[in-house]
Amino acid sequence: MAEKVSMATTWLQGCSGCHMSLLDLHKGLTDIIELVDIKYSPIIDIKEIPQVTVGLIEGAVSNEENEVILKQFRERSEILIAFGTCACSGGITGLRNLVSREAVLQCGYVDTPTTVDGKIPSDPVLPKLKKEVKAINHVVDVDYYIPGCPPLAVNIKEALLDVVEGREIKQKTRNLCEACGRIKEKMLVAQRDFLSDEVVSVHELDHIDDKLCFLEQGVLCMGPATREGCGALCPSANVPCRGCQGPPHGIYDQGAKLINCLSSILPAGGMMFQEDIVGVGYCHSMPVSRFSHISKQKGMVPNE
Amino acid sequence: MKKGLFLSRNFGRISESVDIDGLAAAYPDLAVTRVYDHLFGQTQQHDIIQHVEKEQLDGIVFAGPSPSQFDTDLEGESLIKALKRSGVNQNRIAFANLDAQIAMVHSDQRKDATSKARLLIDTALAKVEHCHDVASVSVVPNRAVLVVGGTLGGIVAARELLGRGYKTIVVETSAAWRTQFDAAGKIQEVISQIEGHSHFEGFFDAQVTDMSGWCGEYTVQITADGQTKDIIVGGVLLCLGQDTDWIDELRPIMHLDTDDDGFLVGPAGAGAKGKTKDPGIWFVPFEASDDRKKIEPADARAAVASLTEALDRGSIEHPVLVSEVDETICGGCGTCVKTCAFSASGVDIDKKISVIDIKRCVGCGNCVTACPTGARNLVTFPTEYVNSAIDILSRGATENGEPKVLAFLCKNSGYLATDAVADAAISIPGQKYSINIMPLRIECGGNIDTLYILRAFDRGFDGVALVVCKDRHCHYVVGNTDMERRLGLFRAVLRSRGIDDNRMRIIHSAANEGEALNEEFNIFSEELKKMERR
Repeated sequence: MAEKVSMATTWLQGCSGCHMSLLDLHKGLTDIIELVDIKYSPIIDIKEIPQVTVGLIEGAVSNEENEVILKQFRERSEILIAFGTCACSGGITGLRNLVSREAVLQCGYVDTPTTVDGKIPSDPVLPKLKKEVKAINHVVDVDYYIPGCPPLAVNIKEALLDVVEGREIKQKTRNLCEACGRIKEKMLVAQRDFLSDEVVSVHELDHIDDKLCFLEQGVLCMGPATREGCGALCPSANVPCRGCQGPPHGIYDQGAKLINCLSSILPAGGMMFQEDIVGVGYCHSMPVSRFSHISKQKGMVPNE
Repeated sequence: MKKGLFLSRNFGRISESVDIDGLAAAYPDLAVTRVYDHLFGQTQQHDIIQHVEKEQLDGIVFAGPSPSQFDTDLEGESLIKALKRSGVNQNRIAFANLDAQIAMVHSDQRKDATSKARLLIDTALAKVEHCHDVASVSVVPNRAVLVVGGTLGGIVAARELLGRGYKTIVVETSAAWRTQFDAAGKIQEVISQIEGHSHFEGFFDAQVTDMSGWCGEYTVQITADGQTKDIIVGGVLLCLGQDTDWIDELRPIMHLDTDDDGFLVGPAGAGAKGKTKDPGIWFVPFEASDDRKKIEPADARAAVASLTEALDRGSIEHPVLVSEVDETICGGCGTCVKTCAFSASGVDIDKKISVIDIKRCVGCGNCVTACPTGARNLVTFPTEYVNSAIDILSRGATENGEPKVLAFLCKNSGYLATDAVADAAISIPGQKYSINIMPLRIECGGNIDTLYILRAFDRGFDGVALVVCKDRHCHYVVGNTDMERRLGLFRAVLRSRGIDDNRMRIIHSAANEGEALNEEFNIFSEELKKMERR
């Protein structure tokens, strides 16, 4: 049998969900273990990052320690993979780029209702929170991406097999609708009326048509502005897409594209009333967007 | 790609304000760079074509006159035709409007004007580079004409067309001809002649409900008594009189332009009366005059003459100026189908890929903006070009305290209005705007992507102006309203996050409203100055 491929994994600013998804391979994990030798990981107790072939990074760069570890990983891995949406495009953690670092600390340590006499930690031993969250490719060069919040176990397995067998990890390029099994009726008719008079949440529908496109039922679905890769798992379970696979190929501003796309399809007032367009549109990709960048500049700074 | 740059001094008008020879020397890497006193003339055309053929140029930039002059000036038109004959693709010809956008409005600041001129030339070179070749189709004109409206003009036109040997189809919404002028019964006589003609076909109580195709070959759907019938005609003549309701119904079907009162108008700078932007569609204008019964027949005859001149040719070439689909990216979501006002988009359900009907697509770019994946691209203003143009124009600005503004100019209104500012500058002193307002020509308001606006701010512009057609005047019917829907939501989104949205300004302008545009530019610059510096 050929020599195993050495691998190191870590999580930066993330929730460990991507690692959990790796463990979700269950019996499939044994196939991976046959081929891959995990040299370093949060799930094994080793202090020093070794030289490896494959480095798997979960999470975004949010504090100074994250940056140090990421750079060490880059130096010591032949192939560096962004593992999960936070690493690929900033993910949920990246939403804090909408407000200042100070406001985040104040909210987290002082203002939360359950906190009594809270204060912002200042111990110099603790890594400092960076001004803004970054996707890992904004800090180091990244070879491959496995997006998803979390990535599907089967996608992780396939990607690792690709690497072990010396193939490139290919990302899907089309949008989620390509994989979605829901039927489109009005969307495919050249008629410029809005699809629905109002925009509602799924639970507000009297009857959820489990076969029909969510947009046609007046429910905001991120599918059109989201990269395919999950096999449209949420829509098939009667839940509209929330865009966790990140923006489509070559698009940086998932939220702005959503606006372009839906303005002629659903009533804008309804969308504003029902949904936080920024929160939904940029939920998984704020740090790689231009929106995040310009909102930080002088004169377009959010009022806090 | 081998590119040629041809600059014009415009008899000294440009070279007075811009160091044109210095600019020519700034492009040593181009295959050809030539400066002329002016571009429009037989000698110049001969010289330019010789360069193109000798060096086998495939990208041409004209720096000097406004591109609209190449449409309205006969010598300009002939130069473009000659280039096409020499094998240059129409999409690889670009313009830097140094005359109207630099020389006439920034006349007393030679150094800065020259730097700005360079950015405009760089932008035009980027257009030549990024645009895709446009395909063309050839049509043998159909010898049938649709006359819409049984008015006096329609009656005269029908007789004229039958006399010229054309099959003539008349559609009228009411039950009979509209013969309110027929005091002496003379018209009735003409009508009998028409109705007795073997080449005549009339549809009364009928309406045109759909149309697609090009000059020479249109498929028109006529609906009467709930029945529809498709007919093929080579051209269309609109004789709608003062029936503005009818004009309104036909507007989205035939992409007609109307004035504030709802009457048909031709494109800006159109030489001939009754011309529309589609060479196969002509109209008899309505004039509220006592002499109407004399004017209308004359206009009808003139329109017939113009239309049949086009249809009498052996074949007609049409550039396919459409929106493209990248099949590796499109997922068939249907957004383009819902957005298109011309029913030009569809989805192949099996492949889940968008398909385009080139006979219906007008190339407005609305679906390109709406496409959430970036799979759509406009042949005339591709996304890569607009992005690179924004980057180029962001590079330079004069450090004079004036805010840096990117002005997206709809090619049918805002862009022509900048020409009108230059025209006004000849007679009215003080017609000038800040040198830091950077013009960028685009197809239509519907072509303005929020991503372009974000990119502009990201590249350091202090403000973004969007100069588009007024309400109901959009050449692509819904481009400006769709832009407003998008930007309305975008503004609300910015505000919901406490982000100031006043750095984005929509300016509605007609093609001839130069003075008003100039004032709007100045107001916007002043307001931006008062805002905190970015």
